[in-house]
Amino acid sequence: MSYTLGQKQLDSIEDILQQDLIENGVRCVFLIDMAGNIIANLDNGEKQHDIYSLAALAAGNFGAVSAMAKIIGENEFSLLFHKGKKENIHFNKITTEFLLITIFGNDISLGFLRLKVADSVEQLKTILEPLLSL
Amino acid sequence: MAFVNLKNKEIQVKIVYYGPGRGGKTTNLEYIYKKFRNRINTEMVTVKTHGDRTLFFDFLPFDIGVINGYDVKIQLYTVPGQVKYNATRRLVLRGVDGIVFVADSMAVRREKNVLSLKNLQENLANYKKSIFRIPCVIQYNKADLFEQGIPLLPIELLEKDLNSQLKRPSFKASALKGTNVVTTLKKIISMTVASIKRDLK
Amino acid sequence: MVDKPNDNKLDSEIAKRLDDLFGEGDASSGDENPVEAEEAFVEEDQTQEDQPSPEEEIFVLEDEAAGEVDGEGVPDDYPLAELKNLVLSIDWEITEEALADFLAQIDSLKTTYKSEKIILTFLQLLGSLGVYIKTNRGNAHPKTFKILNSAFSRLEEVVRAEDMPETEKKKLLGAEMKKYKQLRSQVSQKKATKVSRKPIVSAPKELETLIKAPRQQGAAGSGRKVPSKAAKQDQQFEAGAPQTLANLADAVEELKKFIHSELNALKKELRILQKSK
Repeated sequence: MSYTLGQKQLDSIEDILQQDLIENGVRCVFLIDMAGNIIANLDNGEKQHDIYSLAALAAGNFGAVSAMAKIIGENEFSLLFHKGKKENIHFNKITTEFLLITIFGNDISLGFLRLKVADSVEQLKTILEPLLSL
Repeated sequence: MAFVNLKNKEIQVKIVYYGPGRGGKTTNLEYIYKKFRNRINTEMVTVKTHGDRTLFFDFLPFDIGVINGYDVKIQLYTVPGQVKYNATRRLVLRGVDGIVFVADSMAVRREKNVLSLKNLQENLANYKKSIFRIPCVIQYNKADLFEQGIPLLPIELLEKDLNSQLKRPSFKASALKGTNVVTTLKKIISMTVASIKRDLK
Repeated sequence: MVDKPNDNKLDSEIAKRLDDLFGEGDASSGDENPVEAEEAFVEEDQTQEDQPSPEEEIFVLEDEAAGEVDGEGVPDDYPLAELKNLVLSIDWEITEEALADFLAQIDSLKTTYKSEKIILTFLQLLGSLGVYIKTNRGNAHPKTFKILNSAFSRLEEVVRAEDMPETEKKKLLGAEMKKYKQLRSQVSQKKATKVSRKPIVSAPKELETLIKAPRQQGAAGSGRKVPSKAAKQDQQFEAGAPQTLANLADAVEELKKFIHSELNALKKELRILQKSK
């Protein structure tokens, strides 16, 4: 599947991620496609990660977990979240083609993050869904 | 590292098909899976992109039965070949016991073969493993393209590029047609199991 | 290169097994000869041993008991069990149902603990936070949840430690109230930056007043005094001077009323904001 994102769309995506997530304490957020390509990436300036490896692994991880879901008879899992001692990572699918990955510390509760991510996803869908019908 | 269960008398062997992108690693497994479905009772797992490129790995497990009192279970994996998936490749290589290096015989892929082999060496070193010690078979895939007039690298050149130092068993093959796919598989399994047995002693 | 007999035996066994499984060769007719039929790398000399001995335990699958340990070991009659579940549930996922159950549970516990003022205050604080989250959901201040968890943990400590001295309990309560005040202040400031209106500055002070007031009474006192300086009050509060519980209860009621009125004001503001968008 090929898609094209214009500068305006990318700017809108970054605005949403900045306002909804980064400004609410999320450390790092990236929007990728299911092949692990990075569409947008923002962080709070504190720590730099190897986002290219992260993106590839995240896509692989999500793909592997989706395969596991099918094996156990589920269509998909509604929550994919890994908890660390200091850093946590949350995955959210946007349509069938994109993934929103958020990395956050323990100062944000998962419940709150999920609310914010859900809000962001709704807004991002309006930008991304039209791409899929091309 | 082979997983040995002394209680159940079981050995699990991990064999990884490695090589440049679009070289035929997944096709190898797909051929094996299709051909022996009635004898291999397990499903093949693939984690791939919408464009059919391997994203994480392909996985095909099967049982080859009891050898020397141990039930030997083979796990075949492929890695994603595209350059950008190096972190994933490294992950899949963890605990590998034997490797099939699937080289692309097309002339235009010469450099990719060499880079991929070098990449394999580096990723193995990450786990303190040496490409010179691990059981390995080299497959020169896409031999069938010769009939279509596509320029292929001569065997001597492939051997020089990829096998001059390693000196491993190598086979011309066509994963699409199945030529030497099973031969490659049999060779790597026997080499790997023999190697594990030696390590166990 | 000479193969040892037993290695040959193994090789032939493997080959036979693979032949049985996969057949003699590949699908296409006329197997192509391998480029190199023999293994070129040198095999190491090994002693032969057919049966692995017990000492050869390289990797052993151990049947480890999964044994998930629940650190808390909640007994059946633990009064905060349900509330705990709900707090954990909200931490995990904020749903209308969880919040409604949470507030209902708070109300129920308030009845249970109506004679225990400190616990009651904790519950009112939690209730207030619950209402705030329910009203604002995704727009709630991110720190709200941390304070919710923290306040609940302190409440648990107070409930579990039956022999905890009153001063200690008040200290814990005071610390949570302080965080709550800070949150209120931050929320107000946030609102002030978003809306160019007069910020609700009176809240924290008034809140302090209501909390501090009873402490001015001393052991014999009744009635209420309004202290003059916030810092001094904090100090006094932290020092854990004695309070009349009855006055504390009054203060809590006032606090409750105040919170409700503030929330209503906030709701009104939000509605105006939404309309203007």
